[in-house]
Amino acid sequence: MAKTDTTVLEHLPGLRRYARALAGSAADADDLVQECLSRALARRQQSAEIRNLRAYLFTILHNAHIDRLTERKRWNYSVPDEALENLTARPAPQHGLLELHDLAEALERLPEEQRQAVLLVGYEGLAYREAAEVLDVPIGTVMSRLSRGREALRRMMNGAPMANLRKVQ
Amino acid sequence: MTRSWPEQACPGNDNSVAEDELQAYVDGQLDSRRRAAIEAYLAGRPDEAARLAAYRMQNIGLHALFDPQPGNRQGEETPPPRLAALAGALDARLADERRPGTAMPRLRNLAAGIALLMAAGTAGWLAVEQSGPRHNSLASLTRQTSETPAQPVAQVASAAASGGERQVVAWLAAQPGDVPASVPDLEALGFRLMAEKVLPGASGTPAAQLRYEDDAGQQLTLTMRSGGSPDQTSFTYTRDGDGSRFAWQDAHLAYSLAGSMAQDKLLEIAEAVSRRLQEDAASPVVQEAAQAPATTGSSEGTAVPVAPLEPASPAKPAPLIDKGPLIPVPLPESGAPKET
Repeated sequence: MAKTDTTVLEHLPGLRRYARALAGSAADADDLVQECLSRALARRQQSAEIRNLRAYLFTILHNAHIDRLTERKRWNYSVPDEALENLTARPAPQHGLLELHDLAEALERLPEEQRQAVLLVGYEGLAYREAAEVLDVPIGTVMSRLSRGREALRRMMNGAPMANLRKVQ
Repeated sequence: MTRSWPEQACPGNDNSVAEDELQAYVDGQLDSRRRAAIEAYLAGRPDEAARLAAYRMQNIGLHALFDPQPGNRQGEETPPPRLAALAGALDARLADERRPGTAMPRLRNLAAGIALLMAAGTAGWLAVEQSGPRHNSLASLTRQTSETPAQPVAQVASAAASGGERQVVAWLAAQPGDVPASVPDLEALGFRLMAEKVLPGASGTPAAQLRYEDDAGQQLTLTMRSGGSPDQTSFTYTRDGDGSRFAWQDAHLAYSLAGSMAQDKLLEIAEAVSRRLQEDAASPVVQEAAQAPATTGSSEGTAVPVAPLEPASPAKPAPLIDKGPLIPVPLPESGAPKET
């Protein structure tokens, strides 16, 4: 269960992928990953045993992200431009282009906490237990955010944007 | 996980199945028995099935949005060197912690420092301690080797084989503390010891110099000087002319390794040399031939020193990690990493 035999290098693509979805730009994402790895390296001076390397790394990445959000007073999440450019070049077979644009737009409107849960579980495929560890909340809170986040995305994509989720200008 | 959610959040769920389980069904986090039960439940509830299908499509859509695209101009699959180097350094450190009893923290610190240097990609002096006699020792060492790079030193005929009177071995034996008992054997890296010499040091302290050469005629010069640091592994990289030099120190000696090969190649060698030195210093028995074959640790594809991973043994106590600070190498191109 404990994946002590995995390496940081193996988790690097996942970290970058998640950071890109989370931060909204490729450059920001790699800065975030660098910050994450630097912190982990500095922390190993006194730290205890790691039971789950992926959850450990994602936790540090997540905290770095939260710190960054705190630093910037205003924060507008937006899906990376590259992501939308990629879509134009090659839309996913299961989706229409418009549908994916809708998903991107809905994701941008989602509250940060719900977006984190949806991305960690729905995109990056973390187990609920891992996601709870990363977000430092009880597992029930993860489930609640996930459930509400998914439903909000579904409603927005169905053309029924919830009033309280509209972008505040 | 038996809770259910308010009606407004999950309009289609009539609460006979916990919402948590439906989410787990979407995420493929159910065992097969529960999955079959959920499918049976959904069979009679098309609205509910559609809701979960929409969630599942969201997951697929997120991958379509964010997954790196093949042939993307940014080459997303290959991580930038600075990230790969940091990850490699962290791996080396973690591998160290997992290896009970045989940890060589100083060496790993060195590896981490090298990786950070590679990440920084900076020539010139880096990470020299700001003050104190240790700094002077290292600085004078590097100055000295800089002045006499790979100078022809006295040839020692078949020095490695003879095992006769060897002035560097004698010099090592005269040093205080746990210094290596023999000169590093670099045969595994293809370098043979060609010459050795004890030089009068710039400040009156003798230094030992070893010259190695491989079949292609590439030369390496390793200089050792007394005056290491008990708790620092300060580390520098310099480039001069077509050559490079790595300098570091352990508890008793300061080292400088100079060569004309590419930086990453020299880095690999520096790593191996410091490992040999550590091993040798750790065991008082002189090991002439019984070098472990797998200590080279060459990393393919990247310039990142990756420590070989040992099988994890979580039951054993954590190794006593040297608490010496990690290499104080600042990353010049970014803000210094802050702890939390």
